[in-house]
Amino acid sequence: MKQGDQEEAIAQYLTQQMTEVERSAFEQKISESPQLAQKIKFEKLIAEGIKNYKKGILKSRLNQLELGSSIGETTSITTKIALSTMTVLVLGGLSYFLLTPDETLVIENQETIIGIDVMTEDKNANISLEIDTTNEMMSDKKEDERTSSITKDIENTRVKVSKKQSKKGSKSDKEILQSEVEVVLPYMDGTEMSFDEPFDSLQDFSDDLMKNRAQVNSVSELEVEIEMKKSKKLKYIYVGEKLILIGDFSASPYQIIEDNTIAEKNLYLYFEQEYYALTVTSEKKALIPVRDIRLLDYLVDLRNK
Amino acid sequence: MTEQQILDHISRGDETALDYLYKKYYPMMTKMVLKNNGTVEEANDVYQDALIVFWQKAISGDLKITSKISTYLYSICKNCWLKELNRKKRLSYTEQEGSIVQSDPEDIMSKVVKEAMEVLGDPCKSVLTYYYFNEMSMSEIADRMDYSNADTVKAKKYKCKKRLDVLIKKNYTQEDFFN
Repeated sequence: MKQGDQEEAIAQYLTQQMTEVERSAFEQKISESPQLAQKIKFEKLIAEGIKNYKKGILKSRLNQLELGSSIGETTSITTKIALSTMTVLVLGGLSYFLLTPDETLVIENQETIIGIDVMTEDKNANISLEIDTTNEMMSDKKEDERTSSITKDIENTRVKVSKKQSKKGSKSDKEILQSEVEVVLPYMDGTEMSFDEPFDSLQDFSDDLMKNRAQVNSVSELEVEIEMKKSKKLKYIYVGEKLILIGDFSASPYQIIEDNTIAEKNLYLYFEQEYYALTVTSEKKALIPVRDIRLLDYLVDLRNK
Repeated sequence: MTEQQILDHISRGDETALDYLYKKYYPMMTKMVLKNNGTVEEANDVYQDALIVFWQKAISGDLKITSKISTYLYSICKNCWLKELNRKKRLSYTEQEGSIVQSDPEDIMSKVVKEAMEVLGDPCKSVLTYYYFNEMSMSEIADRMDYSNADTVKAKKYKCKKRLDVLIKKNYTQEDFFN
């Protein structure tokens, strides 16, 4: 056996890349040659050294992670409550801008929020904002229920706010409160998002979404053109409202995902199991797949809806 | 994110999935060590080791998971911590007996390899870690690193390994580790 072949065989043996037959034949050789056995021992140490090197890199990556903002599965209910309250504050801010000052929504005695759901619907020129709040407390005392509702037209926009609050006494050790917000904006592009993302695992990303989630239409339509090339490398030009895709797009259908928020408009391409972010460029730019796990998760959700 | 999505990200080598898992299960896993006489440092260390074991199994395709990721990770963590407790016990016994603790050949080699790897360029580091740590095949490495084919990777890996051997053998011989 040549020197190079023997080294390759040792590497395959150590990385479990041999078939059963190859493995037993190789082990037979090892048992017959103490020199080979010694060499394999040494090579094994080197292979372990390479593995430990990579482990060291991964460990320092983990050590650099900010754990302060991370919320694990065992996050206490108090933390969840705090996060949910922050969410309501953001939504409160949103409602403040959608309502005229004398109609600003006031939520009394609101203490806990467990679930929030925002959905968009209707493609007419109305805005409808509904907040449904229920506060339950475990008690023997009588129930006190209040309901309030506000409806207002702002220019071509109808805003409707309704609030329902139900209370039960004060001897509570468990609180449940649910809010539901429905926003219907003048014209939607068909994309829809939900607030059912768990707060505990994607907090910082969710916060960004909270700020921007109420969607507005970007008005203009995108013109997509394909410049077929046999090259495997995919490129694009995106200028004005025109998108030119360059490359071999014949194999399967592609999708353009427009993510329109109050703050900004983002464009993504979905093609052959990959998502690509498209930024404005008048020069040909290579399509680079999105690798940010949270953004990918968000895009998968967006596309599925 | 579903468990399958997490595993898909790992199989693509997306290290942000490692960050995601680390943050997600940090309180649960470290709590187990802390509740069993471990310090915060030990808890961090054990959890990181366990997560990397999980990562390596998942990325190399060795993982046949039938439970939730958290359950699986928890059992690795528990084993790692038991192993560490046994090691500490042995160490304390050796110290009491007054024996000289000899350096582990694996520890010495890890230091030597680390120094040598730092000297090699990025492509060599990647090829060698993909091959030995991720246990990827030549064609998988070719796809990941944009090489034309598996043979090109094979040649590259051979050259990189040779360079690594030369750097290691500059200061150490095979006998240094076994005599």
